[in-house]
Amino acid sequence: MGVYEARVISHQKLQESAYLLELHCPEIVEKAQAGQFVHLKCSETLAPLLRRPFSIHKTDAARGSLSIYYAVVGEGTDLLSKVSINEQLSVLGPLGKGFQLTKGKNVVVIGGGMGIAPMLFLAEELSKNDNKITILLGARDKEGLLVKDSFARFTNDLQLATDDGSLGHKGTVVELLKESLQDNPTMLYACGPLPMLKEVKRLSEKEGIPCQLSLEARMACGIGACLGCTCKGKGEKYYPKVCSDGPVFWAEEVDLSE
Amino acid sequence: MSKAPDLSMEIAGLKLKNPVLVASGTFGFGMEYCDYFNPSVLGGIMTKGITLEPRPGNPPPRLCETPAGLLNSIGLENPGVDDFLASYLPVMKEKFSTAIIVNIAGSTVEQYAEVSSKLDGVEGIDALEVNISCPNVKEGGMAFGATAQSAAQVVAAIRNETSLPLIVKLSPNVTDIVEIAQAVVDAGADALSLINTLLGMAIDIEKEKPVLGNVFGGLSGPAVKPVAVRAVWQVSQSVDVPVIGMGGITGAEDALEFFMAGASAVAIGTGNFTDPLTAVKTLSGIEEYLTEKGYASIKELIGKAWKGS
Repeated sequence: MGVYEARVISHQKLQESAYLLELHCPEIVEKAQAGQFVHLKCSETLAPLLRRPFSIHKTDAARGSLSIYYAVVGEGTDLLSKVSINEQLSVLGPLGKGFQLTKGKNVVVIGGGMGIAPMLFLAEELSKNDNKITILLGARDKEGLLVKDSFARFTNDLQLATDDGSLGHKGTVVELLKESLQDNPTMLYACGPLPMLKEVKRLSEKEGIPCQLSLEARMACGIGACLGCTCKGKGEKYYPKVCSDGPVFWAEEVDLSE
Repeated sequence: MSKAPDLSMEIAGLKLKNPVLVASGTFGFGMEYCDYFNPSVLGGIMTKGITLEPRPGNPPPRLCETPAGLLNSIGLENPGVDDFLASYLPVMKEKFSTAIIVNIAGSTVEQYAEVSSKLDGVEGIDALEVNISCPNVKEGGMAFGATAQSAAQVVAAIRNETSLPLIVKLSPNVTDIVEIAQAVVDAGADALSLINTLLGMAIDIEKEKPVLGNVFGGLSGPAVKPVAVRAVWQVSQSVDVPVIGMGGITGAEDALEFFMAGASAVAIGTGNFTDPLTAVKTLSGIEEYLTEKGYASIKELIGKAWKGS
């Protein structure tokens, strides 16, 4: 972990509000694990005041680079979207607890919306460990699945779902998961909007399949000091920190009720 | 070449190698920052607030970013004094060669007294910072800091239990901060920390309800700096104890304002979140300023803006 000045190598607009940003930061790449995140300063001024956390979408050891896949959702990401090649950004990372990787298992990777972001790095790591990988990606429409092709090299079973039916199954990624469960997977990995995560958690508990969920939260420090980015833990009155206890949790560790 | 300026400072009998500290609640127990810099270069570390019993803190969401600021409602989540002494302090002692200032809080006068008693005489603790100004817990906290009488009562009870230097952290959410400052000094405070957060809230217009799980939170960050500078200015002129200034410091220029307003030391809080190196950068910026202006010591700047030259 450390704080680095990272140079922007490439910055590509993928669709209306989603971008792929590649940063040169070999120090982070060397240590990064799938599911971990980086904490980025999106401007040189104090507006916005806080950094923004982004999960690592992929790493490229040869280029010493990491990529983040993000959508413009507010002031920070709007400023970030205007950053040009060769600009330097202050980056903290790699941060948090990543996914626990399986070996030789039958696993399902589920990414919904921007929750697709950490799943590419995960798929690559899983593919190195003789896993049989099913990847389920869902979005509102086909525009939200423009990164799908990068997943194809890590699996023979890539399934897509869109709410409007413009690509793949018309419906949700959870519906695809229900079918995949007939194949008796031994591990589920998921990241996506809260309603999706709740359903994945419910199904994993019903079927008794171990399940890892990547959560998001508003963060301040990103390193476990401010105790701000809490979620609800399993026990009464226990609030795990998304930045340091997570962002990846076992489904049974967290209570996703609002 | 001119001599490096003297940055050392003595506060309440506590010798600090330099006057840049990190504020309670923003720096954990220091370990969290070790991957980014060596906290021992700072003048001291103010720990997360410690209470008699462990506290789980408030339900999420606990954070809301605001223009140039941050609302938080952590709710004094901490491991409790016993676990602090058993598990956290030993690591801090081993890792850090700088002042360890333990921030304490309570829901009753008795709890403040008992925590202080447990921390008194423990090797490795250099001072206590008494939080009578937390806006995020239902009873206690800010309630004690709200009137001169209750503030003095808490401080007197703690004074009875400990010989450690006592720094009392005051709330800006009061009508007359000077009156409260004088009362706690009369009750035995050796120094004051100014300021804790300002009580605030935000509403999510989509959900049509408050953003924070606890409804209210404490506002910090650059947005509150003018309030803090004003409080330091007023209080430092009316008490005989040193004031530690804090509230929205993000660099040396901010810190220098506090010294000139009357602070003898400063603490970096929310600024640590923007950049974990804010405290070290502030320290080196202060040194550069002193050198450039030909000051021999940081002490020359304390209260400069009201003392005149």
